[in-house]
Amino acid sequence: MMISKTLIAASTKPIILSVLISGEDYGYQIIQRVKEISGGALEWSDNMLYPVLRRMEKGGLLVSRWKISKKGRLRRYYRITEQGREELDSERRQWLSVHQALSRLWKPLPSLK
Amino acid sequence: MIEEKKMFDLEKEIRNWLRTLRRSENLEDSDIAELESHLRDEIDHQIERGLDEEAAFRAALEKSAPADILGQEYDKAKLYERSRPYWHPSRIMPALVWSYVKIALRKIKRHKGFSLINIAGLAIGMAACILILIWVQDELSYDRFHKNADRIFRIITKDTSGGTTFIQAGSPAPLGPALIEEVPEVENFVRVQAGWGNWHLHHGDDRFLDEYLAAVGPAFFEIFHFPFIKGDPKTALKDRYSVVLTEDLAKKIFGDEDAFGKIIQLNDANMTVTGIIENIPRNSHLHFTFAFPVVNMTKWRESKLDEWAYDQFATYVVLRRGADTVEVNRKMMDIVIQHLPNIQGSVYLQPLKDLHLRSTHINTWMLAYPNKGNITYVYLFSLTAFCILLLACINFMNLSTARYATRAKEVGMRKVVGARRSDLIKQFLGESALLTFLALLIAVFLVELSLPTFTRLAGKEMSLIQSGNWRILAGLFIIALVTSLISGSYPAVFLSAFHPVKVLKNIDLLGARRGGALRKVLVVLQFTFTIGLIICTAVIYLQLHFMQNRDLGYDTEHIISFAAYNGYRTNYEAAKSELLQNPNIIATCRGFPPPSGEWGTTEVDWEGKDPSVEVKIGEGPCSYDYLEVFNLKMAEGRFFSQELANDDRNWVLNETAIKAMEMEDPIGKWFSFMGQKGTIIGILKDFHGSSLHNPIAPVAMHPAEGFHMFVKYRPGNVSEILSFLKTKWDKFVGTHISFRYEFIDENIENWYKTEQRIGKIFRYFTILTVFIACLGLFGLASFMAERRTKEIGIRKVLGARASGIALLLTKEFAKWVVVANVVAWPAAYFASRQWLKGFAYRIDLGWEIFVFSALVALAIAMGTVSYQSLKAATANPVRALRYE
Repeated sequence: MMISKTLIAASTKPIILSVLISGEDYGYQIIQRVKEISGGALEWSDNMLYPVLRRMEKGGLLVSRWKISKKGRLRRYYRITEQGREELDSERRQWLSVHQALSRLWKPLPSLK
Repeated sequence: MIEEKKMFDLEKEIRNWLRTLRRSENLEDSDIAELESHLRDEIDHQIERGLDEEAAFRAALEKSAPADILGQEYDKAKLYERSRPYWHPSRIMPALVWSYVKIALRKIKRHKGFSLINIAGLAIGMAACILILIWVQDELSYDRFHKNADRIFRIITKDTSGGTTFIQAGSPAPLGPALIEEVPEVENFVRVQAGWGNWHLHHGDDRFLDEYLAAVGPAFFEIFHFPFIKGDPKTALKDRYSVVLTEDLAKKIFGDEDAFGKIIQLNDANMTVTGIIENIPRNSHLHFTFAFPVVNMTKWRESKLDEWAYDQFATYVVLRRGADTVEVNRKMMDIVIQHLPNIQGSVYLQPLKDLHLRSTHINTWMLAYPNKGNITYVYLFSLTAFCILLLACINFMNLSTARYATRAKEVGMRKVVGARRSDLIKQFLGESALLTFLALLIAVFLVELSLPTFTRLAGKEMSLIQSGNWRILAGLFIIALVTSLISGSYPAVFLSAFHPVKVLKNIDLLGARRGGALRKVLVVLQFTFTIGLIICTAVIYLQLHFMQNRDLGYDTEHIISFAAYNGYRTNYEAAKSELLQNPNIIATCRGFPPPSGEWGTTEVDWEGKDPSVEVKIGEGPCSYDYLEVFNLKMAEGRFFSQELANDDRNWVLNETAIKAMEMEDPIGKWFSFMGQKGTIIGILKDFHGSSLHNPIAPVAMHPAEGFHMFVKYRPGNVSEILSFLKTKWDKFVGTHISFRYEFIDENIENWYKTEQRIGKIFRYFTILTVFIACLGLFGLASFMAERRTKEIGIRKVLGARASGIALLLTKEFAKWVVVANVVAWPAAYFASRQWLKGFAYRIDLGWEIFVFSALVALAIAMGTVSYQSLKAATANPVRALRYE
């Protein structure tokens, strides 16, 4: 199942925020987790994720810090800020209302004559 | 993890990959580090899945995006943030604005002469433009103040009988009432006759003879919106014996007393003042100081309001909203034909807003409205204003680019320390705006200074800040804005394109090549205007000179004319012999000035008339001694003589009349004019009864009473003669009417008043444009001389003579002037020919005028340039070579 580009673009921010709400993480890991959680439907590429992370950091939703992994590799870990939490909250309400509306609409499937 | 060194070097591949990333200017180092870390994780992941290093690298790379796309994505993210990289200056920097202003002012100060020329040229151009626009705005404002201005029309009559066309603002008197009855589109009408001077106001012993009257229908003040101070516009003129005065006249008659409701005498009738209106605005085509009901004219003058043949009222109608004027014209014509079946010509509606500017061909004597405007002049002057402004702008641009070229280093410096092109464009546009608004300030000052002179020139009172002149104020601002944009745009775009390194290394320092061509074009354009204006001015001057010096065919000098009232009318011979007792009075006569034939009739007949020939002939009533004063020349036969009995039944015609009537041997044949049959006893040589705009028309003279006395006197003591005539006036006419007189030659001068005025205005503007063009040329010449300092120095060292160098510098300008001539001539020729078409008698457009103006332009240009050329040519070459 392909998810449309615009929907992916729109959902990137709330998904990143939702992933990071449970603790800091770095880019590669974020992509992996999203892929797992979505059952492979959402497979982000680096060119999609990193610029968005950058933007969100500049926008004050995230902060980042560099850590050296056990293997000696430099990794940039992102953590959600208070502002990010608020943002997620508002995003959540928006998405839920859209979700609610759609589920109500779709519950009794339109009869196909 | 340490890899074995194989054929595939992973680290090297990654380093290569990183290098491509670094090329993208949108990726910061931290971004690249992060991306590298991501790639390595992905490679590890692929290796864990069992791929070898090379395959893992390829697979990881496949998932990642190419560097340029990554860069774009980051850039997009940046745009979202509206942030800027730290090394870019912010868009708005107040500190820099101050620096711009400071530098601009400093440049003005440093190059005083240059700045003066630049700003002064622009200011003068703008001032001229503003002056013209004030005039144009005033001309366009006529009659717009009436509430229903767009629905008011005047009925015009076009008479095409007798092969000539006569158009007048008068229409059949009963047409108005008939329209109300029969044409539903017509809402209201009013008949007007204005300015005619045989009705006088009296109040006690005071007489008011210099007032303008308006005999109008009762609806007049409903149709025309002249604000009432006292009284009701709807009912003011309902009663036959009512009169409405203007504020000024009321004050003149009654002083501080309230005039409303007072009784005043109009000729012999008692009239009640039923309204006082504000003074008539200058921009009204109707002018009067008192108005009374038109029905009174039936009594005092045999004007029958219900007679279709009587066409000496102007009729105004108000149409209903949305009425079709073409339809109304058609219906109106039908009505006229019903009552005047033999009419040749037509009646049509003329919109109120056209009355002032589009009536030059319409006779409006019944409205006494001589100061008609002319739409052609409005267009012509607007064009001139535009050209002058353009000229000034060109100058400004030219001088600015020339001067800005010396600021290349500043541009280079600014660019090196981080100014973007847009910053520089802003800077230079701002600078030109500063200069322009400075110039505008000076221009407004100049306008205020020159308005009195201009007012006299234009013959009307105008001011910059007049009520309703807000448009000019807004216009001023727009003019300044446009000027600064036009004049600033070229230097701004041109300078900001300088390459900083080249500029700082002194390569192509002045960008001379590119600027040069445009500058030449601009100078040529400027001179084209100037030459065109010189030619036009010369043509106007020559035509005026031609008209004023043309022999009209009769004497015009030393003749005084005044009204032939009372004693002069009833006892002319006695009065004449008394006048002739004064040794300085040579001759007298009675009649009208030599007739123009404009007021003709086709009710003429003659011996052997071919029925197909129709001629319109004007009448010239005169006394027997007419020729003694006017000295008209006889071509054949004789003039009237008092000695011969029944000579007052005879006719003398002019050559044009005889020609038009196709008569052979006319002397002795009979001729009849509106039923007055007589014999033709003489033929007058053709003479100009009206201005040279009009061709000579057929005229028939016969002895009859005329309204005017003419007195020819010996040149010299005019005041003595005038006081003598005044005492005789008091004797023959009486002291109750003031003695008013005119000089025939002054009247004839007035024929060309408009042309004289236009000529004068043109002369001033030509001087102005020449001045502006010279300023520009002067500035440019000095700039070019400066630019070629080194070249001149080398030439001199190598043995060139000063004269040769001066010639070298001058030659180039001469070339441009010649080119400008070639462009200007056809345009000027066309415009002049168009203008000259308005005259029945005109000068030939000879090549002399064109060559003359070319020489003038060349002389002016050379004069301007030579100073700089000589200065450069005679300078010490050593100094020139050390220059810089």
